[in-house]
Amino acid sequence: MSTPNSLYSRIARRETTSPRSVLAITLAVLVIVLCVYAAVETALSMTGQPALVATPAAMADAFVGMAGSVLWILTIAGMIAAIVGFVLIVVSLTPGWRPRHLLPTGRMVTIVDDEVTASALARKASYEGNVDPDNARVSISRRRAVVTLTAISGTKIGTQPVKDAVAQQLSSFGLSPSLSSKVVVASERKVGA
Amino acid sequence: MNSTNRGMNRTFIFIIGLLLMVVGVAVAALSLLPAFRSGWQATAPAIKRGVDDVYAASPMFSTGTSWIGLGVIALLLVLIAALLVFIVKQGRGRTRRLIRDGHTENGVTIIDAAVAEDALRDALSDRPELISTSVSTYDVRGTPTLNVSVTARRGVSPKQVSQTVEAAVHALDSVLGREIPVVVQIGGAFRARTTASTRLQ
Repeated sequence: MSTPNSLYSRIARRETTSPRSVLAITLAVLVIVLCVYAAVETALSMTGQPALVATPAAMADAFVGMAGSVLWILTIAGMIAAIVGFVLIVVSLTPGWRPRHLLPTGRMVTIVDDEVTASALARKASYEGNVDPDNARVSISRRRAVVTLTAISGTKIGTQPVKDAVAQQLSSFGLSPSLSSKVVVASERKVGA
Repeated sequence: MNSTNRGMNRTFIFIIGLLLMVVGVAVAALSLLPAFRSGWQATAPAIKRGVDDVYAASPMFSTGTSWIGLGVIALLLVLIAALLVFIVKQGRGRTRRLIRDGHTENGVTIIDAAVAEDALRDALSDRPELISTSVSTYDVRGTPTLNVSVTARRGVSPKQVSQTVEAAVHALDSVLGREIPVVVQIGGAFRARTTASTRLQ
């Protein structure tokens, strides 16, 4: 049993970062396939059966004689392997933030998907700017919410009230990590809607 | 919420990445650095001969092969089994039991997780701002924890959803007589509109 606070912070951390399960399982499956192949090839060569691709002894010879093969192929293959390896190392060390934010509540841990926050902000901004909700686009990153409004042809959107309304609603959510807001009015306008 | 060992996931990815990078750099160096290439050509055959000698020195009866092959296969099978366990262990941690009260002179009280799950689902089922609710129970480090996952309707404030759920949770607290840890996940299922909305004049 752990205390509620450490339990909640553990859950909050785990729910906002990626478990990296998909990648780990994919790699594990690839390694399993390689192991199965190596085991089958070894068993075939031990029982004197013909090899599937090459016998272990032939593979060892090829490995030893690698320096004598075509050099540019070695360069490219080595570089690709090194880059993939580097990417895997980076992925294993970075947190992998999921598109979610925490909403402070005393009794529970609340995790909000960014699309929910975005759609609430879009509704607020579209009311305030007097456009159809479909003409309000919101994109949310970890620290920033950008609201883009497309005005109806022949009308103007007062930016300041929209800015205030969006900022006020964001601060009422009190999400963590906190989001700063930005309101953009698209330069093109749309007929209707 | 689940008991996936994330440290192990990341360690595994790191090790594979490190292996790939070391091998890749070595292979590229083989073609790019002449000194490394001539060093390889000088030493690699000798090392292989050494391995061949060890292989030949451990014959298996009179089959013409070596014990080492059998050892290699056994080692590979162990590795495969370990990786299969690693895969299967992902995403576990659900539990069926919510509360098990200490012994009293009259016995033990056990409350199933289904009690709390059904109560919460029922309390939230007819809320207009929610499309769907699902509740499950996970064992987080020995503490049963309720996971309330709700889908909000488009444009609804997450704050309002969280207050709705909190009210239901407080009601559950008073029914159970204790506070079970609760995690609320608010998601959206907003289908993209593929056609323009109809306009009425």
